[in-house]
Amino acid sequence: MAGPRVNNFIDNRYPTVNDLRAKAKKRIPKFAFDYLEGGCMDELGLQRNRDGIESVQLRSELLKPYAGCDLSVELFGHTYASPFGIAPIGLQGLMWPKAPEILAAAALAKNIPYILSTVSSSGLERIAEISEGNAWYQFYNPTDDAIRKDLLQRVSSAGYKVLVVTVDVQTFGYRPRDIKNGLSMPPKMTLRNIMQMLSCPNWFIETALAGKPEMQTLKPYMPKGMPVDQLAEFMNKTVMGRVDIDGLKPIRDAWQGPLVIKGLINERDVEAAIQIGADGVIMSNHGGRQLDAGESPVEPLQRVAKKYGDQIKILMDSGLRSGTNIASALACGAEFTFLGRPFVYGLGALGKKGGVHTINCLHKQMEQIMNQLGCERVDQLPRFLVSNDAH
Amino acid sequence: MLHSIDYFVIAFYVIAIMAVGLFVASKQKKGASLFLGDKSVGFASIGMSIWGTNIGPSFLVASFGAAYGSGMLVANFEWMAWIFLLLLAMVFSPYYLGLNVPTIPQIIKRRFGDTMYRLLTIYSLCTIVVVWLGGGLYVGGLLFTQFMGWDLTLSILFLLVIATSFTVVGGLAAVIVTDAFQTILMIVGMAALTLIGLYELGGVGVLIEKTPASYWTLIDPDSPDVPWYSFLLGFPVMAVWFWCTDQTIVQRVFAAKDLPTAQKGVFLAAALKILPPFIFILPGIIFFCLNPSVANSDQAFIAMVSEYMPIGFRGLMIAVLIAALISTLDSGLNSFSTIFTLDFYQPVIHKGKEVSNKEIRFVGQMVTLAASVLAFFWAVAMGSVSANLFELLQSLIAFLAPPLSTLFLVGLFWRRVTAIGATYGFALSCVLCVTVGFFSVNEKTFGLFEAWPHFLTTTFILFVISVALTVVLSLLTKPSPDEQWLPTFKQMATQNGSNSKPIWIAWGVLALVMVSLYGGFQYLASGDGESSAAPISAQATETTKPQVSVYRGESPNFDGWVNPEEYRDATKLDGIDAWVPQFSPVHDKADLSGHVYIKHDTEYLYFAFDITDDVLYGIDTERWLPDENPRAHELTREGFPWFGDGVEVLINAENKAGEQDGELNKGNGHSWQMVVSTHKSRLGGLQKGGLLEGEERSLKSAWDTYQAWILSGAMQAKVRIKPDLSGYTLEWRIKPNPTLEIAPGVFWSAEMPVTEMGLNLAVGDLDKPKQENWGGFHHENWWSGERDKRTWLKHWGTMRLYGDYRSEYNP
Repeated sequence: MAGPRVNNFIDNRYPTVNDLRAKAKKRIPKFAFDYLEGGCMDELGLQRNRDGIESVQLRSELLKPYAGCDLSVELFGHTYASPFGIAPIGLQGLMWPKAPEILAAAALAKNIPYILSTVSSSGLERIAEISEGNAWYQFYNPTDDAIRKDLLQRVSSAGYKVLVVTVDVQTFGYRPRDIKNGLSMPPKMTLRNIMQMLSCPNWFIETALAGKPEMQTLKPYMPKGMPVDQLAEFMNKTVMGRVDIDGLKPIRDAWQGPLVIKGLINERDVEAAIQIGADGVIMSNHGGRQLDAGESPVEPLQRVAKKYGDQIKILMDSGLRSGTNIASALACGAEFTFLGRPFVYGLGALGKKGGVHTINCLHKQMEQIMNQLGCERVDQLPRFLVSNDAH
Repeated sequence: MLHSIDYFVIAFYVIAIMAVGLFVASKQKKGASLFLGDKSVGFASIGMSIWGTNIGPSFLVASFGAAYGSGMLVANFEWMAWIFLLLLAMVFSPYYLGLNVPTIPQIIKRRFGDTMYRLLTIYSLCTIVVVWLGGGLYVGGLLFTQFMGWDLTLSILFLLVIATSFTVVGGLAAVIVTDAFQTILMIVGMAALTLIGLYELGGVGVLIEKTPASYWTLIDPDSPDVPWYSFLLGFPVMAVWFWCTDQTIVQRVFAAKDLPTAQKGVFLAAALKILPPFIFILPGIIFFCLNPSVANSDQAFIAMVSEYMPIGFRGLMIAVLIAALISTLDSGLNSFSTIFTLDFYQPVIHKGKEVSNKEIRFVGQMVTLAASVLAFFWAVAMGSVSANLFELLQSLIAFLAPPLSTLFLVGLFWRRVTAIGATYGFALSCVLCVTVGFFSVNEKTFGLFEAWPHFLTTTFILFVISVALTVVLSLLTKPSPDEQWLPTFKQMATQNGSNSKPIWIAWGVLALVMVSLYGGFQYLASGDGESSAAPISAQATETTKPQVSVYRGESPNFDGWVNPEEYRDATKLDGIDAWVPQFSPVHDKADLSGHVYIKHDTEYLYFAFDITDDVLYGIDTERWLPDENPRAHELTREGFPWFGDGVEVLINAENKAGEQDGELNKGNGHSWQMVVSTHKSRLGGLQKGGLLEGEERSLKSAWDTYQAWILSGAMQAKVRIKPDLSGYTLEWRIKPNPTLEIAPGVFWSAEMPVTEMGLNLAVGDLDKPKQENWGGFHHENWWSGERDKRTWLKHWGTMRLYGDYRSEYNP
């Protein structure tokens, strides 16, 4: 594999995530695109996330001396080139073949973190190899002790830097689009699915050459020959167990490296995370996919950052789609952000080149904002927030 | 197997293709030629039509099956064809178009006069009926029958009506345009099948990993099926005949408006020839990787379509098969009509007098109809005579080639050939070829030699004799006034005056592509390709120990016969021939193959084996003894219970297996290994197959326990030899108490939650004494484990025993 060469590829047809999304929608079969896009229930949470981040306003400071901007952020002992990373997305290989491989390689090349999902289509060992040990690993809390131990052992010996434990999937999200589509992994070869696949020839040929997407990391734990419809239930029960503070303790004990708790909104939960000795939290509502009445993380982020910012690293995801959104999140007190869907849109639109393109676009957008604000370092962004403390 | 959506797809296809054909027919000018399509056919249509005409349903199914059984080797027939299409385009086509004739016999008439002309007309009509009409229609009808469940006669009639409809009305123009559509349909349909197969399999990496390296080889000097020299010598004789001189293929060249169009068309056909190995042959290999247990490789295509194609696409695949047939059949009908009308009706009935275009057209249409009726009866007749006759006629095709190949290669390019030499040479050669072909196909040697060589070798020898006959007869005779020389190649080339440089460059590029394809596949076949395959995650390869889930089912009729119906609720383990070989691997499914059903009815756990084994020890053969043990037959601890054909079941009920090497079963309810032989048993003695005490015999306690199980009926087995001696079936049932002791004093029962146990299964096969292996064993295939370590507890697979019915089956 070629080394992490500086790759400044940008396809000028797609300067924004919206452009990528429009193209990706045409090139990804509907059942997969719906899984990527969808929220739960009436999908009100999706919009609330967008509204939340877009309501943030920033104010420039134009006349002070300005030495140019530096987007790098130090986090858990590593200096990343940009203040954003690639959030974990399950079944990525369903949306674009070899998505985890492409994105992990792009993240490595551009020096940002990539978080591999447990329910990923690529094996964790393979991704560790591609990311040369720079990736993070997203973890659920398997109910089966043996599976939990074995999985943690694999994550640690594969050389992942950071363990991210997702705690906001206490139950399988009720997602009407997936229910209607009869989504399963691997997808069932029904006439409707095949017609959707054939209507996306790029996707179909590449997927066929790569083979049907399967949950490679979890494959060794799955009973062989289990019908696809029972698999979801098995996953739900065995791999994505409920997790509470007592469930987190053994994970904290077993994992030596930095531990991040993902999916918190409530201050009390952040306090608990600090108690068990977590190193970071990701303020998130799972991209609006779990609780349709859930609040946007933007407002609690500001409170939590003020209160606990000196005790634990505060990171954030959900609803971010642009450099502006990232800057807004940082201005609200996040030290680092994650985006999920935009990178998959990038793959859908541009295939193998989509990962690097999307990272470059977001980075460029961020630079423009920093320059316009007159902000030299990303940790100074809160100074430029138009505060609504007034009321 | 078909859903109403499939029928809709098929109906849509049939209506569409007839509509296209009839539309083209209706656009024709009045009195247009039925045979040359007004010489207005474009090169794309010519190329696709040659390609589509060539690929018939029997080819499609047979090459898929051949790939399933032995890999890419069959692709040679496709990837060598371009050489002969090059010959057609650059050497023969200038003649054909320069002479401006509509049929092959008329070219020969120009050169050698009327007698030869009449002879060739008859020859051509016969070959069209045998090669293009009857055989193809019969096989197509047969396939259709298998898919649709229709009666054979009805299937044939249905297919024939579609093909005849637009061929009668529209002639060659309609045939060529519809062929182009069918070609696109075949390519798209088969590409979809290939991609879906690849998708199911897990992509290119898994394909390369799973396919035996030998499957990729295109050049196999040691092939037992086709010796390399036979291919090298005989194939060109057939290929020149088929691609360069057969009316049905060549008529597309005649229909071209000028030479460059014809050459471009033939080039397109040659370039499209890159595809068949990828979309007709590769899916056969993919399916082999997906499911290597289809016993009859001719069934492989149908099996893949029904196992992996979703509703709707099955209909599409049937449409592809119909397309393959119709595009071949309509071409055959049209060329039969062409030759009959222009070479028989006009010169013989009308004695060569001018006949109006209108009349020629009408006669041509009537002859097309008549040919269709002839094809119908011919195909139905094939269905009613023995299958052997059909195969015989098909094999004879190889022997039709030498006379015509000789006539063209020698007659056209050597001016010294006389009409008498050509005519008598051709006639004698025909008689010789048909005779030799007949005896060769029937394998009659009259004690003159040991066996007939490969048919391609015979074809080449016949070609040499034909050439010799023609040359000698010509040298002995003088030219007659009837004959005239054809222009030389050079004259032809200058007369056409076209710039042939671009087309030669195109052929050069194609040659390079072909050479690199051969190089690429040889690389894969060398096994080096495997290291470059995408690495499969370590975890995935570590879990290769097989697992099986076993559920409750209905009690089967415990009579030794294994009926799929009584085991439809059981779990099936397939592909015994592909299990881990302790001795020689199985190459031939007739030699050893089969499947095992497993289920329980709460009272007993059942194992039902259905084994194909062509040679049954002690039944088809003497009961010889192995060198290793002169007391092997004894039913004592000194005997070999497993010596002979039979099966073994090994269960580790307590499911405890340490990591240490060499740990074996305990010889009691916790873990055991028992044998069912086809020719001896504890209860039936040396005469009757059944249960025997298995391993470890050396342990007295094990031997006693096993014997007690057999005598008490705690374990029972019944064996049946198949009436045609092609193998055997057996049913074997065990009582959980005392044989499934999962913990001391605790026996498995259906009330328990899912219980995992160690399981291994073996099928042994002994064929003849003094085989290379230990004990003279031919095969011993194991469900789990490695060679020499298959009895170690830690290498056994896992059986998950569910107390209840499988969820989708509720009685």
